[in-house]
Amino acid sequence: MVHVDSMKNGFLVIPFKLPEHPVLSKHENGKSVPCHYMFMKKHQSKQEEESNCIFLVNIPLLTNVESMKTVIKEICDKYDEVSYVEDLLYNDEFGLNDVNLSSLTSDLMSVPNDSSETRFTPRNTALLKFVDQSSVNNCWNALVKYSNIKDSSKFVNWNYSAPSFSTFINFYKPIDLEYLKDDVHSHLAIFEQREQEAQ
Amino acid sequence: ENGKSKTHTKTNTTAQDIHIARETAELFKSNIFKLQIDELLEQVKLNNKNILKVEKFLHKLYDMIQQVPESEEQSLIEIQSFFKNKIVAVPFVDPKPNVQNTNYKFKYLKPDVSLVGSFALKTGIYQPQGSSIDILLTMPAELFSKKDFLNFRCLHKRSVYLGWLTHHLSILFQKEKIDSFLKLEYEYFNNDTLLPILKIYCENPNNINTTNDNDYNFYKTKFSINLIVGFPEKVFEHKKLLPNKNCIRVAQDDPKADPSTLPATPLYNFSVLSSSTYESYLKYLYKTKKSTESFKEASILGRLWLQQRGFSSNLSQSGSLGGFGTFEFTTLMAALLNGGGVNGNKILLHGYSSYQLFRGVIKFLATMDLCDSGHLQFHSDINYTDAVSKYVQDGFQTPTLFDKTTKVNILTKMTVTSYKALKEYAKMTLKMLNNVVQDQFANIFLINISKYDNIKYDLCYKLDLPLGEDINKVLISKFTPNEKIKFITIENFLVNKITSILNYALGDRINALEVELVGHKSHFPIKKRKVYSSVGGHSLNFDYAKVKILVNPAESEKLVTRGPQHSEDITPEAATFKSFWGPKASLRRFKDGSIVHSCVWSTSASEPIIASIVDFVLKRHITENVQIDNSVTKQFQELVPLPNLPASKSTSILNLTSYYNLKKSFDELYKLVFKMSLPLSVKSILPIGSAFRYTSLCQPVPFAYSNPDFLQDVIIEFETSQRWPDEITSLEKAKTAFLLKIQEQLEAEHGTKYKSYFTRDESIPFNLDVTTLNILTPEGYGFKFRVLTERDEVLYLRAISNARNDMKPLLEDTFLKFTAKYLASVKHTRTIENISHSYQLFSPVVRLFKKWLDSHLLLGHLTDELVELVAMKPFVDAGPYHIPGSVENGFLKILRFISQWNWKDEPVILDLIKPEDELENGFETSIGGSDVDADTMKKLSEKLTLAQYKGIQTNFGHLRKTDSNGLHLQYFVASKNDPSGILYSSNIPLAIATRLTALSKIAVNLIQSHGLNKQTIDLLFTPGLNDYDFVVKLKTPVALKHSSGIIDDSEFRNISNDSAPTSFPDDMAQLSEKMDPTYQLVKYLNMKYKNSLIFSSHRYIGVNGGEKGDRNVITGLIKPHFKKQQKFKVNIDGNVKPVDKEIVELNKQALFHEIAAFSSELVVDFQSK
Repeated sequence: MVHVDSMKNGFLVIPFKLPEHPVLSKHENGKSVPCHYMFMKKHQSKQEEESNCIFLVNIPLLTNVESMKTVIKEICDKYDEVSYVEDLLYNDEFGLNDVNLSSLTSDLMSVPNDSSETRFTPRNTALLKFVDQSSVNNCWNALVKYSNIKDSSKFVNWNYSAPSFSTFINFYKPIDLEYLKDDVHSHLAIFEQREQEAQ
Repeated sequence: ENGKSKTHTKTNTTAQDIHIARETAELFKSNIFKLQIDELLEQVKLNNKNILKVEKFLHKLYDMIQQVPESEEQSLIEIQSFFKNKIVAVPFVDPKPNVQNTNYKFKYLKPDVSLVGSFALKTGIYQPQGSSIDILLTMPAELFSKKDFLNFRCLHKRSVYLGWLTHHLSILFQKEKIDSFLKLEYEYFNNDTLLPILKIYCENPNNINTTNDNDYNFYKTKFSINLIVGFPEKVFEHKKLLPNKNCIRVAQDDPKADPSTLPATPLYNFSVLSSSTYESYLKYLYKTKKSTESFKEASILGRLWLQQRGFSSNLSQSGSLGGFGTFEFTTLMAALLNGGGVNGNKILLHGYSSYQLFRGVIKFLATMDLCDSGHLQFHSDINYTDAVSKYVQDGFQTPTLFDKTTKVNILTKMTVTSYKALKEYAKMTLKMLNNVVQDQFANIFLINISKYDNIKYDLCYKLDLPLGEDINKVLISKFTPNEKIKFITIENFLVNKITSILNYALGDRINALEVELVGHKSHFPIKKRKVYSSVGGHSLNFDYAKVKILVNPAESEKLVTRGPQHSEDITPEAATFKSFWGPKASLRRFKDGSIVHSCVWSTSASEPIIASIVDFVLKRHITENVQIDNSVTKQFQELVPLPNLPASKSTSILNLTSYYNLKKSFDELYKLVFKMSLPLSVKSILPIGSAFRYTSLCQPVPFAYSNPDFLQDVIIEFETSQRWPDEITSLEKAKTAFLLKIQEQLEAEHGTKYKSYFTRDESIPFNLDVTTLNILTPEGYGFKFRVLTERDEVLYLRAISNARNDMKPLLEDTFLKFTAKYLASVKHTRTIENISHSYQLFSPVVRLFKKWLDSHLLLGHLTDELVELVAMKPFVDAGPYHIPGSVENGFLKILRFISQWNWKDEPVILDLIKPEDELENGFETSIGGSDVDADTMKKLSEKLTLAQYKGIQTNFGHLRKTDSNGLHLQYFVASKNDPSGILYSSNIPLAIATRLTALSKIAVNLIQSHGLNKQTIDLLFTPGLNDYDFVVKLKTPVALKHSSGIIDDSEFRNISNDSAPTSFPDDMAQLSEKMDPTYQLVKYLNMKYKNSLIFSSHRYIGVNGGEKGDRNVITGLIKPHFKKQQKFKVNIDGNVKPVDKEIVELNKQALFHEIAAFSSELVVDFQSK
């Protein structure tokens, strides 16, 4: 495979080495080292909460802010850069929140000035938010260098946060009754309060 | 007073309106019909070039027949010596004449040659397999004496005549050098062994080494020529050959006995008599044709209609549907043009259109009885102008269309059985013709329903007779001289015997029966005297027999065959019953106190009772060693999942007790909930789960909570209130608050018996706040309650109007899902539940179909409702077939339908009603039905009107305007419950829809080319995993088969029960330990990779998950646009890797790692292309 460090539209290509999987390795003999490729670009936005962000495309399975913190730290460490990740925004892997029915049926329950409700981020993308501008710059410097590595053995490892058997079984588990009661109660209380305020 | 008259006028107008509407519809229909008929007739027209070609040969043939030399009178000895060492043999009929008894002479004089049959009448049509031209050679009258009609004399004279002709023709062919391509063969005309004819046809020029293309070679025309040797008109006294006369004198015990005590020989008499009437019928039909403009067209319609149903002019006595072909159809039509009513009133008018003529004949066949209670008389004498056909209310217990002129019963070749079948088809067709709503043209004329027996009939059994001596012992010994003269051949005798045994034994358990002699030959080489059969290993003229049955599901599984009442003195009926059933017959006392001779049968999950009866009676009355193969039915029934219930192996496939038990348990719970005091009182509790309509793949089994259908959906509605929150999340929370109240009361008042818990529900996309209350009953069933309010619909609609344009389709889909789940589901369940009582086989058939879909990993992509509607099609829209009466028949008809369904252009519009004859009967009110009362039910059961039908078609038209190739929505399945047609079929991936079509085509081809047997049936249910881009094999830590309520036929219930739960765990959280993790896994994979991949898996691992129910497989299909490289975009939504600075491609390796990681502890293997 030809080495590509960045795409024409400015995205850096950031590879990660994938862990071996027993059922796959027996079929993978002789094939190239399995890698995942993320595409990253500095994010420009006038919105306050989207400042200091890097835009991510193609996010691995079950990625969360912790897994991003780990790999970003590893990459920065390689080039002696210091950078702090604050959050992973708009990562909605399964598209559960593609539509917000609540805000489409009433504005009563929406959080004032919550831009996320109207924000549209394509699927399989997210924003990686850093604590400050220098964190973003440091990280970006490291990423530029990292994207130039051609030897796959030097790639940072990606570790999937794989679900377990019980993760799937848990979908069938009853909702805790007390939790449900509280949830319903508090939600309806807020709703009534807002309704009264609106009148 | 005024008010009264107003109402009166109003009613009048309405009635008139309906009348006008109906007439318009009919007129419209007959116009369309006319266009369709014209198009059809154009397509089946004979090619003029071919006619000219074959006529050229016919002229030549005529000349050659004139050259056949006449002979002197010859004795049998002289004839025998003449034909000795000749290539041609005399086709003597059985019993062949012997020298001692034959003192009459044989002679050949020039015949009178004429064209007869449809070629002469010019009513023939193009047939892909070719058609024949009938030429009549009438023997001169001087060759016969008055009494030659007796004892085969005239037949033997004819055989010698035919032998002589054949011999000399073959010499003449040689002389003319046309013998290289012309072939001669003897054939029994219409399968009548008393009537051998000479058939002339051309051999395929590719098979012979002749290069010169002879002018007389008519091979390409696909014609063949029948030389039929007839007797001159009136050479024998017709009266002596009446159907009730004996014309074959057999030796009687008392030589002086009166021949009138001998049994009648109707088949023989008919054969002799009809051989002298070809010309009179030609004239009769010709005259009628001249006076009736549309006669020709109507007779072509009749021919097509009969052919598609497997009817012909062949003798039905030797098996199969026969005795009614185009000749009989046109003769009946001619008779009805001259009367036909009870008073001789005309049934058909000469000015009728072809449609009206055809319809009139069909109506007559469907509504008038020509067998038991009446018959039709007519006169074929064209000079007798006052000749009037008359229906006479007096039956001969044999199908009768009697010609007073010739004394021929035109329907002699029909058996009672084949007549019944004809009448049945006529009835069905009349119903189709009366259907002003749906277009039935294809069903009536275009579909060949006799192409495949397993689709035409419910049950097909293969009967192998034992070899050698045994056959002589058991059959030939019973074929006494009296039987011989009645049945003519032992094959006819056998068919009659099997038919009557089975008809008596099965009674009203079946609707129709046909016996076919497979491998029955009717032609033989000219060097042979008759058909010598070498197949089958016995000396009979067939390979094996096939019994084909149409089941009457309403009676087929009854346990007791009731005979006559018991009485002190044994009645003849009782004696017959006892001797017929032998050890099976016993006396039984019934509830009403009567004592009746009966036979008791036992049901089985794997076989219908009919199978046991057929086996018992054929072994008892034909021979102990007869082998009856009914493994196909057994294999299909065993494929329907067997529930882990007491005595399930001996429970009939039609038994719905397991469903009734679930419903009973629901009824109890229903009463409790209804009584509860809640802030708003309960308005209705409506069951919508598939078990309420008997369609769940697995039957309900108590405590079998691993079954994905274990929790049966129920919708609860409260009295109207203005107070429901006007925002969707809060509305769902408020609903949950109500469910919490119910749960609280249930816990407080019935906590010792009922258990309950809440779960999240994901049936409506993007509505993440739906919770359901799941209640487990003391009987071991589970019900999932969800709340419907009058506010829901408003809010979903509001969401659509508030959404950004690009989001609207998503929200419309959400609304569809809501409508399907909360609104239409109620009607769907009620309708299916209600009508499936009339379609007894629907439940097992739809369960088998679901299993098939799941074994091919498709069920997960389809909604239950869609699957059920598709499966309902062969039941509510059965034409031109019968309503399925066996599991295999229903299943195969579904596959056949899907394989031919061009969903791009054809909507499916279902009339979800009971069979029409049953509609008048009352409607049962179903449980829990407070607002769906009998009136509503009745409305639901009313037939679709033309306007509704057109409306649905318009909906389909609109849909295809925006999606002309069906890329977004393939299956349009509408009914009165869902005129939109898209409620249950939106969001099916195109690849899945096309795969279903492809799989059903493969299945139908497989069966048609290889038949049904163990291998093909197994293959039908084996998924083709190689077709996918990758396959992930999974194993779950806990086996789920027994806890899904499934047991194998070979398993013992007491052993498997160790792993089947017999109670619910105390802690509801433990339930999840026996749930299927793979379902959630696949669901989330499909959500994550929505844009690039399609994942499929078995939905029911208790059924399709291997021996223990712990295996599953995930298959992946890469969507087409990810199969190739593409430009990198931010919104690419796929796991890609760069190829160069602009182009990316799917990163399969990384994908597989993700999937393998996600499948975590469950994955055992991963295969990819």
